[in-house]
Amino acid sequence: MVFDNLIIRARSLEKTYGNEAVLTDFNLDVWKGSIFGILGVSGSGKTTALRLLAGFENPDSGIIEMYDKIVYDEETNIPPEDRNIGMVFQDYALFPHLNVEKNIGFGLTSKDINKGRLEEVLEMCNLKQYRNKFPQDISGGQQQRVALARALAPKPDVVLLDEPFTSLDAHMARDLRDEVVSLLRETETTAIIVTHDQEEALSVCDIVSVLEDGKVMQSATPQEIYLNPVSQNVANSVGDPNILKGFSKKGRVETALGTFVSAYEGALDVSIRPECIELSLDSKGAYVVKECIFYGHDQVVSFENSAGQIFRSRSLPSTIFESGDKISIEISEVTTFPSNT
Amino acid sequence: MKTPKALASINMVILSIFLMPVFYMVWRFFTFTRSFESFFDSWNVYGLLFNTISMFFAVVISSLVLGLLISIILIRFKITGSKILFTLCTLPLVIPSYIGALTYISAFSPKGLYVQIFSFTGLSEINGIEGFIGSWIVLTLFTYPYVLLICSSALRNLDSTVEEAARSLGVKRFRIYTSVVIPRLKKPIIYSGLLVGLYVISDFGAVSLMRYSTVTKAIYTYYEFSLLGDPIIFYSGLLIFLALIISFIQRGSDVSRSAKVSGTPRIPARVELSSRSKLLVYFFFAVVIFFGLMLPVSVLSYWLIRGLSLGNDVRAVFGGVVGSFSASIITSILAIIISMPIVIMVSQYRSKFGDFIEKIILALYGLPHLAVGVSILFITVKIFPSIYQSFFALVISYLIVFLPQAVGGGQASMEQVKTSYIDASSSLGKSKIETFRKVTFPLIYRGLLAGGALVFLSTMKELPQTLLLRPTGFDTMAVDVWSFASEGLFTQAAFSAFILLAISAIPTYILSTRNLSG
Repeated sequence: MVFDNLIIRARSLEKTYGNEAVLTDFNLDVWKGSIFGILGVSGSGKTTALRLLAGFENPDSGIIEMYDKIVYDEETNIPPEDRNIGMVFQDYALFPHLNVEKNIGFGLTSKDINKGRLEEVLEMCNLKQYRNKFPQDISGGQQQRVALARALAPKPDVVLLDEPFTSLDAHMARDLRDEVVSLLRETETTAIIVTHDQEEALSVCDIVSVLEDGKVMQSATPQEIYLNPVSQNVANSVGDPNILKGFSKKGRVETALGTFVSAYEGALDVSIRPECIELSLDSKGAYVVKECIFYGHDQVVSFENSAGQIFRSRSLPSTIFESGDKISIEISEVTTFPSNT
Repeated sequence: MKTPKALASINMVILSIFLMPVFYMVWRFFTFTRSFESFFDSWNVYGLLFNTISMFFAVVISSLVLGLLISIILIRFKITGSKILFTLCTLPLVIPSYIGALTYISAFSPKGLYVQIFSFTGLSEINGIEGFIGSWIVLTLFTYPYVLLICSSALRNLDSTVEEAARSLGVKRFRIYTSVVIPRLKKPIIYSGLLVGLYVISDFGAVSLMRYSTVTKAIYTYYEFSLLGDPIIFYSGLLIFLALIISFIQRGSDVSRSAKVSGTPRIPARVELSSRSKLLVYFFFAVVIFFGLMLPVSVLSYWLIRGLSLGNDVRAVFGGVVGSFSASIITSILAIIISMPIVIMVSQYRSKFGDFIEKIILALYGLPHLAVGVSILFITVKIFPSIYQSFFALVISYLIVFLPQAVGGGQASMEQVKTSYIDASSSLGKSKIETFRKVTFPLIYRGLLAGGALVFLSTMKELPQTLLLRPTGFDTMAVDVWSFASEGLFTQAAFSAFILLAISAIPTYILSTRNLSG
């Protein structure tokens, strides 16, 4: 995908509630037509970031630009209603006194409606048969569609989605997610999705920003984030790697699972993703299986070394491992970071 | 979100006007010309306090017994027609206590309906339906519906698993009620009992028609004799003090705030009754409904028909109708308008100041009308003589005690307006004013109207403040009922009472049952 047009740029946003810094030095660049993800646990400041962009709250300092036009800085503050940013709220915030059609048409002028925009959106989101129902009379998935349709109707420059799928059950969330993403792609809508779900962020977004304690830790493509996390924390937030301590001398680091090459010197954290450890039954092996959890499409095996340290491996369920089996291991890929401590 | 300065200052102004009566009372308490002890020496303070407090306990206990008994019978036993019986048993709450008292006094007076009916036995008058006994009967009959409404809705939502557990542990069926059911209804029982108690200590109409000397009756007597400041202020202060203690305890047991059991409660199967017990139960309901509903209605109808057939002039009461309507309409509209900034403040901006306002408003609700009336009376006499005995001062006094109802109505509906609705609207390009017009207002106007309607009805039935503060020549139906009845002119009193009930009964019933049974 080629992105040639920057649509939102945020620089050095800061936000404090009382004494608590919620966002520090928050930066973001969103390209036209892309889906941008902000990934973080609850309390990491991701919803605040969204609210600052939408204009519901003001940052303490920093600059927000849209299409090279300043939306917020020390002198300018364009109110939310004039930013042309659509928003899908976590609780959907559908107006309970208006039916589906009126909810979707809320942000449209009568001129837009006469031109057929309402019908177009109803059609696009598959909501025609629900047009006269009230929000409380339709399912959670339909409500989610209405919320998206309402946000898309006025053709906003960008749509913000705040944890859009968390209120739905897992199965429905997956289906609806695919539907929403293809809708966003088809209409070439720029979107920013805030989520705590790593799978969602990695599978849906073109660029992911990992947010922790109000700071952007890494902002890159999903592949880059997953394969080359810049820190142990980022690695943790997009997977569940084995983290080993080590000390690197002359580009080699010795750990409990073997010796590896490292670009850094000194104290190190070595991250090994479970799927990069291959196990094989070996009566002379140095490791012992503790537990094997079977998931169907794969299995996770916990094993320990002679010092009693426990590690995890994820593999296809082709070999059966039982507790007490002796095994040997082979590691295909490791990532090293300078140690935090 | 931060509260806008304009909103905060509007609320400050409203709040200070509304707290004026209390501040004035406190100030007067510190500037008495005589020592505090001398009040107790020279007046019958202990006697009056004793009367008020014994009435409080008598009515609270009898209302609780009656209300709980009816709740349990109607909800836990198989009774044919339980829905109709429930309605008939809650209906007496639409009858103001002074109208109830009027019907009881007049029913057994020499020309009264029940003396006429039983005249063949040589009966000429029944004495004793006055004083303590009379007040007790009347106040119980017209307040137990509050207990019934609150406790029956709590009982209906009570999960029966605990009862089943108790029975499996060997507790007999009827002991279940004393050992498990009633203890679990502790909060609604205390809440509704104290609601009745507040009503009792503030009641002026019933006790004064029944000639039972309580603190409220003493205040009015002093007012009638002379505008002697000290005793009136002293007793009013005492009354406010009592009321604040009661409402403080009551808030602590607010049912709506207690934690709810998750999931749907298991409703116990209704117990079948033996035919003998059934007969007893129906007899019990016949007695309750007769005294709470049939007697007042039949007596009022009797006086009405008798008066009309004797050619009594009905036109005398029209002034009261006009007065009641004008006062009620103006008060309710003002209440809606004034409640708006408070509602917006309390529900849209969670802040310490908002919480404070909410608490004050709740406290105002428990203030005895007579004491507020007294305070406004003295404030107008001493500080603002230009509005003394003006319609304006009367309306302010109404607003002070009834505003909480308007705020309650608005607040309940404002809770539906989530802040995300406001954000959603602005992200769809709507300005603040448009958002209010298209989102907030459509969501809250019903609640505001319901609150306003409640204020309208309450104002229409209000007695003590109206008596103290009405401009010369200004009458309301409530004042007519009271003054005709206290002169023994039962026909005229009944006319006004009848019209008042005809207008207010059904809406009062709908609004109160909706509010109290949650």
